[in-house]
Amino acid sequence: MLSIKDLTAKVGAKEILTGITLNVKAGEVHAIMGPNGSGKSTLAQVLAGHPAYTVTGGTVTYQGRDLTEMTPEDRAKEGIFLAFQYPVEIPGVSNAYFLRAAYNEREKQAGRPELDVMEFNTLLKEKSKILHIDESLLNRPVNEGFSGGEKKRNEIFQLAVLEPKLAILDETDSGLDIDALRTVSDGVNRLRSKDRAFIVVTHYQRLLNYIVPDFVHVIAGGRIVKSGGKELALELEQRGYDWLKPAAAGAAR
Amino acid sequence: MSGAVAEMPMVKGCWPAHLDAFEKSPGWSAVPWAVGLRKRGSAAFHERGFPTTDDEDWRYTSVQALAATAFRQSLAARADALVSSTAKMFGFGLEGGPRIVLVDGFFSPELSDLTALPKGVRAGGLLRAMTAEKARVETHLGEIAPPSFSAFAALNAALFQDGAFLDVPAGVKVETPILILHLSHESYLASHPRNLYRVGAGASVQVLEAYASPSCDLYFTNAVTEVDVERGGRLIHGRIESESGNAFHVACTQGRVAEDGLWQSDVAALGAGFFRHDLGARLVGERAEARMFGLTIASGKQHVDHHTAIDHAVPHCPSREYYKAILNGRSRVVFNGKVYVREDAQKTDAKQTNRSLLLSEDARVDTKPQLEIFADDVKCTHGATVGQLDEDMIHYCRTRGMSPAVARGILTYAFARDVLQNFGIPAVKEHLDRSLVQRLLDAGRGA
Ligand SMILES: Nc1ncnc2c1ncn2[C@@H]1O[C@H](COP(=O)(O)OP(=O)(O)OP(=O)(O)O)[C@@H](O)[C@H]1O
Ligand SMILES: [Mg+2]
Repeated sequence: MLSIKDLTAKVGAKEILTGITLNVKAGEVHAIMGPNGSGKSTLAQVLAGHPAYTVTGGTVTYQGRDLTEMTPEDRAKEGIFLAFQYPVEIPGVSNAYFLRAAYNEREKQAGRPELDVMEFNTLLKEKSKILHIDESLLNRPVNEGFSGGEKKRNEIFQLAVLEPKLAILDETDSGLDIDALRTVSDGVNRLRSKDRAFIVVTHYQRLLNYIVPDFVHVIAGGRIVKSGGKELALELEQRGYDWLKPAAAGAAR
Repeated sequence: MSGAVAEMPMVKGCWPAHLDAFEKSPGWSAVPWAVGLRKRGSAAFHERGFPTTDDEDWRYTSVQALAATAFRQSLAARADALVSSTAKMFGFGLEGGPRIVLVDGFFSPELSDLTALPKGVRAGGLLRAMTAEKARVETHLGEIAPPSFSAFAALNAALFQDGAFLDVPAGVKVETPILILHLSHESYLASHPRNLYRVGAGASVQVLEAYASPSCDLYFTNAVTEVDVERGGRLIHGRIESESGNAFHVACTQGRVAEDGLWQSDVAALGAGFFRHDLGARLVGERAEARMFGLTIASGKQHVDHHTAIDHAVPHCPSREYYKAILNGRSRVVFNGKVYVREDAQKTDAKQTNRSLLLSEDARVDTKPQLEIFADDVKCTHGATVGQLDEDMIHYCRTRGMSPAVARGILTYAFARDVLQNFGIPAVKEHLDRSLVQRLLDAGRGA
């Protein structure tokens, strides 16, 4: 589904990704961990097409297409979804309105009829139940005045409505209380399917007890310095990242 | 000081002739007690003429084009079948409810419908009320918005023929919003409607004052509205300026609010080539509250100027002001927000926000908050921003599958809704939301 090879990217003059290679197949869940500032969000943003990040080398192929050539909206319409580490607030647009606009763009792309307000509200209600989203949240402006946890939950709600093929979750667990973590994880797990892949960026092994990954990767200094199975997360929990850093330096030489 | 400066105040255009003709017509003294007010208006205008851009309050707004246009005046009301069929087109969400309709500044009993109003509420034409309800009118007319306020207020005082009168007695709560519809029906006509709303102690009412034209493009509306909210009264006062593209609209809306009273002004500036609004609230009793919300949508060569003033004269009064503007084309918007906090007005809580969205490089905004605070224990904040659409928001929308054009449209709509949400008459708010969505989506998109 997604094949990243020797990807380097910079923001401004600063090279942040220094050579990422990662293959994600449909049905897989990849966890990405790593120290603060190592480039995890950068990778996520590059995949979603943020204009501030420039790809300087390597290739990214998504469903056989060169992803770097696609606009952010085309990526979205082709099924890529990024749950932001810091979701953007949009005063004045209700969640429901926003999501319907997004949803219908995708329907148009797929040549399906757009949903009207009534039809869409039915869909929204259904999805909001799954994620225990309070219905009043649907009519509130997108993320405006939401608590940190509500914003994160709202991202997963959008994910559930838009049903992407490749979902990238950037620290969605940060800021969630214990119950919310479970609801959100449940929501994600329900969405797991053989056609859908997840890249889950997290600092906490705890999340991976709920969303059990097929692979765990560690990014340090803008590259993947270690990959393994779900047990790698446990090891990291115990040992931290220090033991991996020399390896990163070694690999760079 | 150049020669032009000395010359400009003399510009009076067609107005001395209008004043002269009206003075000689029966209308001038139809209500004897009002002749004094008319004379004061006439004298004030003769003395000062139109303001120039050297005048601080008119710095960004030139009235030259207006002053140079030869408007006609109408000395008597006209009945017209066309008006009656078109008046129904304008409901602004209040279709079927009580309405006071004025055509070219004259009250039209045929087009108005006041049957559904609660007992005791006096509503209708001002002229009639000046005689029939003399005691209720005389004490207020020209007192809240005096002729000395501006050249336009002076002209109005001298030349007004009629207007809307609304008087809600103490304790009466009017449930259904009242539409006060001012229609212009004759090209090149100048009308000077004058409205007076009185809200008695503990009374409450919602009024939508709307200005539009079904049939003509260039005309001049010079409106004055006086508002008096007595102790504990509540007035939700919508104002939609939806005049034709080449119309001139100048308005002076002044109100005073007594103890525990509330006056909320919701202004939508949607039409007219030239619009100037002077909106002023005086809070004269403790805990009196003023709210001012404004939405301006301007494009082409429209010029819109909002001059607002909130006068905190006594302690413990809150005021909220939130004005937003969306500019396209070569349009120009001026916002001047004065907040006075008098020496005695301790514990004042005043908040003013003005945000403008520039969708075109040729559009221009001049915004100036003007806080004059003479008390020391107060909470006053103000903020003004002028900018483009937020790139992070656009990107966020794009990551959800929207094209930049769709995203821009939605964000423009959102920008407007954010202030529209505060409008106090639900049906009007919904009407505006519905009727503006496409215009806003297109504006943001650059269509
Ligand atoms: N727009 C930007 N401008 C300048 N520097 C940036 C920008 N975005 C990211 N960086 C820098 O790039 C580096 C990587 O940032 P990134 O957000 O990818 O880290 P991260 O691995 O997600 O960290 P965290 O775990 O704290 O979320 C950091 O040093 C950060 O300061
Ligand atoms: Mg990050």
